[in-house]
Amino acid sequence: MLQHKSEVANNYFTEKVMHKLPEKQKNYEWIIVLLAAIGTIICLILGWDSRIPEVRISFPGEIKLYYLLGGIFVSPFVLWSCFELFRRKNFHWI
Amino acid sequence: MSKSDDLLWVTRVTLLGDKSAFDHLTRKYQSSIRRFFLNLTMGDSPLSDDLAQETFIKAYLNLNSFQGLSGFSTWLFRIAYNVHYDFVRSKKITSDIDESQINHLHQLDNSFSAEKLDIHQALLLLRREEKTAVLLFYMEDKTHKEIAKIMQCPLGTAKTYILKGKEKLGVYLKKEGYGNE
Repeated sequence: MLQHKSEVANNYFTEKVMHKLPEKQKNYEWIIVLLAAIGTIICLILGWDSRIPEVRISFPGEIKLYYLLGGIFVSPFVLWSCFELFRRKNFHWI
Repeated sequence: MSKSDDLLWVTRVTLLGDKSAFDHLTRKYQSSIRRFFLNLTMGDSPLSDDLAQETFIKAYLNLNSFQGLSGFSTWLFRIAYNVHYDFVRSKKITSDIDESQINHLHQLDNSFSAEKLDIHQALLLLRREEKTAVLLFYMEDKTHKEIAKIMQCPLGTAKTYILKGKEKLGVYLKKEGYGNE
């Protein structure tokens, strides 16, 4: 049987497949997850390492810088998660 | 090396939407997938190309579900197996020995050697599962474990399909005077 194992010539087969591929929505979810991970790491490092001096920002009240940065990075993930929960309609208030 | 290489190409498609990476994967596996369908359809080239095309399109659309636990090739063959299964079911081919396939064998062009025709004739004697398992094992060099994954059956069942298929092929080819091959 192996003697009859021959390579099948491409003959524009790949081009035909590529031409017929439907447009797929680009997947950007990984960027949101990556941002959330970076935000969490920033919070953990800046919050727990006592050698790093605390920076406080007075906006809107007094807030620690790492909380602000963490919040900025994590907020897209939180918004996206909420959106996905509502979109899939498997979210129940109770 | 090849497995991790494939994973890299798949990642490029899924994360970056890079179509050229999928083009690379299609070029790499088109031959084996088309050969698999050619043997399953007894050399029906247009049909096997259609089925192979459907396989690659389905693979592209479901690439996000590829977890990399098995090789990309195994995953692709699993889709191919399902595509063929769906095709057979849609055509309501209830018997493994299909008359249209036998007729088709006689109409094949001269590029098919007598020996190849005999092998195809012998493959007609096998049940669909046996034929698939035998082709994957002997033609596509898949292991028993990979075949079980592709056909979504227990390892023992995959081994039995190959063994029974091999036995039936042996009996037929012996009758045709091929000796103990």
